[in-house]
Amino acid sequence: MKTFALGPDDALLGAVTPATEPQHPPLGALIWGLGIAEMLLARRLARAGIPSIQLRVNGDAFLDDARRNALYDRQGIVLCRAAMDHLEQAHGTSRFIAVGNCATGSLVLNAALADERIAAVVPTNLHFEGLGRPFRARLRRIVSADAWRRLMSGELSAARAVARFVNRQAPNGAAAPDSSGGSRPACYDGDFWIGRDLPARLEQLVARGVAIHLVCTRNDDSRIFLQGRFRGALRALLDGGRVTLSIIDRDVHVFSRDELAANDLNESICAWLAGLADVACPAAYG
Amino acid sequence: MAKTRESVLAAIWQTILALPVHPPTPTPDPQLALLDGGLNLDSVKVIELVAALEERLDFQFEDADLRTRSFQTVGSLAAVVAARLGVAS
Repeated sequence: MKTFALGPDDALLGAVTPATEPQHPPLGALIWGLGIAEMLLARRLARAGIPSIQLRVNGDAFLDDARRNALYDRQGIVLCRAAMDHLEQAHGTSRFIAVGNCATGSLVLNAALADERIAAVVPTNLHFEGLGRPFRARLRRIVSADAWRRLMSGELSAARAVARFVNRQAPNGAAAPDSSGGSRPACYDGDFWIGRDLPARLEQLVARGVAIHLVCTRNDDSRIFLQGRFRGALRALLDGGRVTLSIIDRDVHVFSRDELAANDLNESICAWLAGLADVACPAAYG
Repeated sequence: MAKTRESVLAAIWQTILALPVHPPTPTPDPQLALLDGGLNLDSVKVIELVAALEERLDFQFEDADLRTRSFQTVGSLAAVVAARLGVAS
């Protein structure tokens, strides 16, 4: 499996894992993330007859948060399409499972809205814009053991901690967008924008027959939003069966940084896929 | 195909050099860290290393092999590969 550049201006770095069992045409997988965790998922899918393409942003832009997110925002859907085109040309896949975490989780959800080739989508620890940080997350930062340690050591002043809480600042100190949903522009308003209209987007996908597997870790902001602000709307979608929600009992935002969390995520995805009659293939996702 | 631990180590070393990565020593060093504090291989280089080793030595890692502990050092990786190839220690 060699990595290669693809997409407009070689904006992406990709790697393909071909199916090792008889292929389940025409299904392929688009997986954001070019590490071992994603490779393990790709291999499991390959054994189930599903070829996949792993992706990440190419070059120095990958390490620059602002450049990377700008790329997702302005060209994210184009990049997803380029990857699907590549896999389609190489392996004849015309329907896709799309997997992404945080910004790329929101991106694959929007890509599914834009491209009917995506038949199933797995957004994990969704990134939300325009909602600020949840109150519980901000409170946790005030009362957490780490916060007290930093207060006692002088690394964080009490005044600054309170100011960040009141101003709903993100952990890195950056101001979070206004949660009123419109009076201030969102940081990102393009291809990976997911905000208050998440339920409507999910409903649109469900109406088209797309299967959606939402995944969150236990303390992630996305879980707080999904089981708080969006609880009622989500319940109806969950009852319909086409949308599922899995909570991974780990405390990490980027799954690939924690082997156990990544393993739990892959298990969750494969178990979900095995239960989808119209998407899954007969081979076990082992 | 490699038949001894030494030849496995040599094959891994050659594969690393071909990534390309430039180790600080010219000869295989089992103690050299592959990740932080050594070669500092990033996630892309790790998966490229995995694929290249499988191709060079005509085997496949088991999923359980693909853990951080396997990639701590050149030696730890060699132990995993040797086990997969059935090479006696």
